[in-house]
Amino acid sequence: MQPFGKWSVIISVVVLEQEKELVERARKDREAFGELYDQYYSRTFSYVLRRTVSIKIAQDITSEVFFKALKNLERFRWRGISFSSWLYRIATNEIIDHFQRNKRSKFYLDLDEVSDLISLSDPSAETEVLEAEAELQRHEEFLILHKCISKLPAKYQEVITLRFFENKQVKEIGEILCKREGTVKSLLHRGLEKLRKLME
Amino acid sequence: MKKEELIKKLEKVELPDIELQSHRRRLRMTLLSAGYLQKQPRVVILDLAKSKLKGGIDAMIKGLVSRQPVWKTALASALAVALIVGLAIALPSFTEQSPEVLAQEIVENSPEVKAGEGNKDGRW
Repeated sequence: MQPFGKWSVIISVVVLEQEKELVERARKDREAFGELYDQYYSRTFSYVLRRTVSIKIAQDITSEVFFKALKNLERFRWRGISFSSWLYRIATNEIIDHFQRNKRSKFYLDLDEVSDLISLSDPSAETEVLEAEAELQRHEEFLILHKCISKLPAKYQEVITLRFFENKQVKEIGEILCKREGTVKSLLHRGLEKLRKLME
Repeated sequence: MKKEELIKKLEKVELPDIELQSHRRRLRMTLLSAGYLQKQPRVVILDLAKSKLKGGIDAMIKGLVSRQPVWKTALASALAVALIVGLAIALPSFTEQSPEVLAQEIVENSPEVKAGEGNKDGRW
C-alpha cells in the first residue's frame, strides 16, 4: 500500500459518511439541500460546460440537473453509487437528451448569438455570461481538443471527458455510466484510438 | 500522433474553470423555493404500482435476453406480471354486473313491462 493510501481510504470513507448524512437530511430539509447544492454546483456546471462548450446550454442543463436531483432525491438509494456519481449520471443523461432534441443545433455559439439569448432583465447577469463566454474562448487548446472529441460517438465522448477532464477513475466512470470497469476500459481504449486518428 | 502523446495532451490541457455567480444564486433561490420537498412524502400508489410493473417487465426481459438467462428471476417476473394483468382484467367483472343481468333488471323495472304484467291479471 502507498504511504498515504491507508489515510486516503479513511478520509474518503469519512467524506462518504458525511455526504450520506447530508443527503438524508436534504430529503426533508431545504437548507440541507442548499448545502448539497453549494457543494456540487461548481463541478456540475464545469462538467456540463466541458461537454457542451456553451455557457447558455451549460446554464440550462445545470438547472435541469438540480431540479431533477431535488425532485428525485426521495428515490435516491445508496446502492454502490455515491451522490456525486448520481449527479454526474443525471448530467450525462441531460446532455444526451439535449443534443438529441437539438440535433441541428451548433456546439459553438459566437458572442453575438449569446447576447441575443440572454434575458435583458438582468444586465449584470448578461455581462457575466458575456465575460464567461469570452473566457471560454481563451482556452484555444481545449476548444480544439473538444472539437475533435465532439465528432466521436457519445459513448466515447463520455468516457474521455470523465477520465481526462473530470479526473475520474475507471471504477467511478463505471458507476456514473452504469457500465462494468472492463467495458469502460475498452471504451476508453477505442475512444482514444479514434481520437488519435481524428487528430492526425 | 502516438497514443501516449495524446494522453499527455489530454491530461495537461488547461481546462476552463468558469463560475457564474448570478446563475448560481438564482438557481439556488429557485430550487429552495420550489416546494418540491413538501410534496415529496406523498407517494401516489398508482405511480408505485406502475414502477413495480415496469421493473418486473425489465427484469423479465433482462433475464431472458442475457447471455446466461436467469430463468428463476425471469419466470418469477413473468408470473408476477401475468398475475397483475390477470387481476386487472378479472377485478372489474367481480365488482360490476354482467350486461345480461343489467338488461334483465332494466326490463323488469320498466313501467311498460310492469303494466303488461298487471294486464295479465285482467286489469286492462
